[in-house]
Amino acid sequence: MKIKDLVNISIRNIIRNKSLFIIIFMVSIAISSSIFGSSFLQSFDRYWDTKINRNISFRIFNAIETRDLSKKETMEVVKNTPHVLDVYDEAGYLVHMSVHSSDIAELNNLSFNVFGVPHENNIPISIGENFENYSPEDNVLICQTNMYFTTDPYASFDPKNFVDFTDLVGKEVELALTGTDIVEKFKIVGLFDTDDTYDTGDNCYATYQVVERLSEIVDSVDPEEFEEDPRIIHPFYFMIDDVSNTEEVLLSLQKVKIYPDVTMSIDYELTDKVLNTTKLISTLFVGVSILISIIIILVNYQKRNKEFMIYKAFGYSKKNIFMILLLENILLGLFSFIFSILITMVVIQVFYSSVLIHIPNMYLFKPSIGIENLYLGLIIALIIPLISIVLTWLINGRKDIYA
Amino acid sequence: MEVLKVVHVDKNYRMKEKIIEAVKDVTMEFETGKIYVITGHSGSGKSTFLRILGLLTGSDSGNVIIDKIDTKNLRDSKKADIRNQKVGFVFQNYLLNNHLKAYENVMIPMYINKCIPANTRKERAKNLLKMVGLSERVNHFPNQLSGGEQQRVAIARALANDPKIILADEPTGNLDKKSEKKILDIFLDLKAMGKCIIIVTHNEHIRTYADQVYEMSDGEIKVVAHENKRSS
Repeated sequence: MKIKDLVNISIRNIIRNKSLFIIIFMVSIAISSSIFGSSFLQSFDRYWDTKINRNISFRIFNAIETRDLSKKETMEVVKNTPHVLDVYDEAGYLVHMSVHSSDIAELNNLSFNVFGVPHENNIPISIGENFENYSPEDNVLICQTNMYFTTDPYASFDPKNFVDFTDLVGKEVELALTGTDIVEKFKIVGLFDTDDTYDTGDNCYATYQVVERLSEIVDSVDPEEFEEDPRIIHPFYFMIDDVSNTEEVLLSLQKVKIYPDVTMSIDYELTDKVLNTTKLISTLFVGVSILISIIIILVNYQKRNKEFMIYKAFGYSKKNIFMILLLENILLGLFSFIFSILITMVVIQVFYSSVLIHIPNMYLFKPSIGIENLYLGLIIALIIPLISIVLTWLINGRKDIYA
Repeated sequence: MEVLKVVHVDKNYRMKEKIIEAVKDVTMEFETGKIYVITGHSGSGKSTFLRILGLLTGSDSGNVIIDKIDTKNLRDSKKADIRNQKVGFVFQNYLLNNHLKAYENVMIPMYINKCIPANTRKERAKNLLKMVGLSERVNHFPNQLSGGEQQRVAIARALANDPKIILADEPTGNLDKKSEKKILDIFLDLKAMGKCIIIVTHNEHIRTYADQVYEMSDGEIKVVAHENKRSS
C-alpha cells in the first residue's frame, strides 16, 4: 500500500470520526497536564531556590568599618559584586547615639549604636529582663554588659573604652543623636553578654517603637548631611544567586572593607519535602491522565472492530491494517500535542492571574513553557497512542473475522 | 469454468471439553457464471464454510484452490492478496464504514490493488455504483441510505477489483421483499457477467435464483435437487 494512500486514509479517519476528536481532546488534556506540571515544577523550583536565597540575606550595618565609602557608594560596590542579585534598604535604622546625661558621669557623651529589632528578641539576658515583658510601644533598650564607647567614631579601637553598663539596668537614660541636641529618653531593662552578639556585632537593641522614633529623628536631619555621616547608618540587605557562592561573595567584599553578616538560615529539609511532594502530585496527575487516555483509545478501537474486519475481508494484510492504525495514532498524537500547547497556555495564564498573583512573591515566578517541557509533551503525545496501538493489537490481533 | 474448489476440507472448534465439527470432509467445485446457494439451519456450519472459501478462516485439513492456486501453504499476506483480487464479500449487516461516503466505501478494496491506478479509483467506484442503480447516491453516507441501498453499496464494493468470486453471507437477511428482489436481480446480472456467486442463507426464496442448491447440516453438505427457473 502506498504511503500517500495510507496518509489519506488516516487523515480522513481522524477528520470524519467524531470519537477520534474526543480522543484528541482527552490526550491533549493528558499532555497539557504534563507540560503544565513540569513547567510549574520548574518555576516552583526556581522560586523556592530564590526564596532560599532570600533567606540568606547579608546585612551591612557598620559603616565605621567602611569608612572610605558612603552608604550610597557601599551599596553600589555591593551591587556590582559578582553573584549579587539585588540590593535593598533595610527598614530599620542603626543610629549612633551618645549618652546625654545619666547617673554615671563618665558615661556622658559616650556613643554607641542602637539597632532596632522585632519585639520578640531571643538574645539571652544576663542581667535584668528582655523585651518580652514590654510592649513594642515602650521606649526600652537592652544592651551589652560591656559597651564600647568612643567620642570619635573614626578613632582606633581602644580596650580602655569599654564601660560596664551594669549599674544602668532599670534606669532611664537620655540618649542624643551624636552631634545634635536631639534627645530621647530610654530605659535600659536588660544586658546581654558581648559574646552573644559576636556574629552581628550589635551592642544595643531597641523595640520598634524606639526605632520609629529614631527614624523620625534621622529624617529630621538634613539628608545631605547625614548621607555621609557615619553616625547614622542605614543598614541594607542584599541577596546572592546561589548558596554555594556565599564564600566567594564574602571574600570579594572583605577586600574592599565591607563586612556583611549572614542573618538567616536555610531549611533544606523543608525544601526537599516541598519539592518531592510537588513532584509526586505532578507525576500522579500525569500518570492518571495518560492511563485514562489509553483506556479511551482502547475502547474506541473496540468499537471500530467492524471497520478492521472490513479491511481484512477485502484483502488488507495485518501489516496494512497496522500501518493505518500506526499513522492514525501518530497523527492523533501530533494533533493532540498542538492542541495541548494551546490548552497549557490558557491554563498558565488563568492560574497565574487567579492564584499565583495573590501569593506573596509567587507572582514573580510565572510558569512558562520551555523547550524541555515541549519535549516531554511530544514524547507523551507519541507514547499514549503507541501504547494504545500495541495493546489493541495484542487484544484484537488474533481474533477471527466477524464473530 | 472452475474457479473455486475445495478438497476434503475439515474445520473443528473446541468449546471447553467438546469438539464441534463445523465442516466435515467437504469436497466441492464452483464454476464461473453460476449462482450457488448453501442453505441450512443456524449452527450448521454455513458461515464457517463461507469463511474458509474466502480464506478468512483456515481449515484444519484439506485444500482450498482458488483460480487454480492451491492456498494451503500460502502465507497470510499472499492469502490477503488473493482475497483482494479474486474474492468479493457481501455481508448480512452490510459492514459499511459509516464515516465514508458511498463511493469511498467502494474504493476501500482498490487501495491495495496495484493493478488499479490511483487516479481511476473514484471514477471506477462511481461506475460500480451506477451499475447497482445508485448513481444518485454516490456522495451519501451509509446512514443516509436505506437498507437495500446500503447492501447495493456493499455489492459495488465487493466488485471493486472485479473479482471472479462473490461470497455473500445472508445478503438479504435484513431487507424487505422489494429490496431483496433488487439485490437478487443484481446477482443475476453478475452471474451473466461470468461471476461465480456463492450465497449462504436460510431464506428458501433465494433458492429459486440458484443454479445449484446445497444443504448443510452438522458440517456435512448435500446436493439438493434443483431446477433453476430464473435468468437475468
